[in-house]
Amino acid sequence: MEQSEFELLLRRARLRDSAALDELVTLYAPRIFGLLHRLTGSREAAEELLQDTFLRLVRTIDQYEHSGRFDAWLFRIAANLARDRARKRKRRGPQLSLDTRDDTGSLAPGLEPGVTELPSADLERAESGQQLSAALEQLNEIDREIILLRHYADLPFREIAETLGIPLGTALARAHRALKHLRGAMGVEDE
Amino acid sequence: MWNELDKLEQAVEREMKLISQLPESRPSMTTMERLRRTVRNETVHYRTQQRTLSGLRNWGGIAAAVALAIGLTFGTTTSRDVADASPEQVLADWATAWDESHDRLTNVFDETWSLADGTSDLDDAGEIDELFESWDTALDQFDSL
Repeated sequence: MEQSEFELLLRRARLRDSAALDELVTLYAPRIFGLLHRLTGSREAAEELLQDTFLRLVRTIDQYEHSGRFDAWLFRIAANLARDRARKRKRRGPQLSLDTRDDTGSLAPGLEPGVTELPSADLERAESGQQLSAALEQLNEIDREIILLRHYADLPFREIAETLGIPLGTALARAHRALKHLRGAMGVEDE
Repeated sequence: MWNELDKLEQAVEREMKLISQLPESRPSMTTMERLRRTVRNETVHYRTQQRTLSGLRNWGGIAAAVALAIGLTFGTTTSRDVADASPEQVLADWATAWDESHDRLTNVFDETWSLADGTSDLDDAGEIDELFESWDTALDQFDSL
C-alpha cells in the first residue's frame, strides 16, 4: 500500500470508520497474532491479547501521531500487553497451561488435528520449525521479544531498542547471543 | 563506535535468516471473524459514547444559560450569605460551582468508560437517571438562590 493511501486509511480509522478499522485488522492481525503466539506460547492467550490489542487501537488511535511509525506503535501495544500478562502470571506463580498442545508442540506446526502424514521434505521442515519454536521458548523474555519483534513486526533494531527502553548496542548484543543459542539448539554451525 | 554497531547490526540481520524457519502461526478464520465483530462493536460503542458526551455538553450549556437567566430575572433568596454578598460575587460563586459541576460530570463519563473491558459503567440506565437527577437538583439549588 502506498504511503499516501496508508495515511488516508489512518485518518479514516481515527474517525472510527468501520471499513478502515476492518482493513487494519486484515493488514495487521495475522502478524500480531504470530508475535503474540510466540511470546505467550499459547494460541488461546494470543487470541485474547489480539482482541485486546485491537480494542486499544480503536480507543486510543487519537493518541498516535502519524510519523510513519504506525507499525512500531501497534506492535508496541501488543508486546506490552504480552509483557503485562507474563508479569501477572509470574506473580500468581507457575500455572498449568490449558493448551499444552501448543506448549509441548506435540503436533507438527501448521498441522490441523487429524492430519498426520506429510511428504518427507515438509516433515523435515516441520521438525526443524518445531525445534526452533522450542528453542525460542527457552530464551529469556527480553531476548525472545527482540527476535520476535524483528521477525513479525519487521521493526529495525533501533526501534526495537526504543520500544524496550534499552540502548541499541544492548539490543543487538542480546539478539546476537540469542541467535547463537538458537543455532546451537538446532545444531547449525556458527557463521 | 557507530561503525562497530553497524557491523554488529549487519551480522545480526544475516543471522536472522534462521528465524525464517519458524513455522507460520496464523489466527483461525473464527478468530478473525470474532476480532472483526469485536472491533465493529467497539467502534459503535465509542461513537455512541462520543455522541452522548457531546449531547450532554450541549444540553448542559443550554440548561446553564436558561437557569442563569431565570435566576437573574426572578431569583430571590433567604440565605444570609447570599443576601449579604454582592450580585457580582453571587454570580462569580455560581459560575465557579458550575465549572466544577461540569468538570465532575465530564469526569464521570470519562472515568466510567472502562478501558479494561470496553464497557461503560453508565450502561446501567439507573445510574444515568441518578446522574441527571443530581444535575437537576443542582439547577434547583441555583433557582433558589
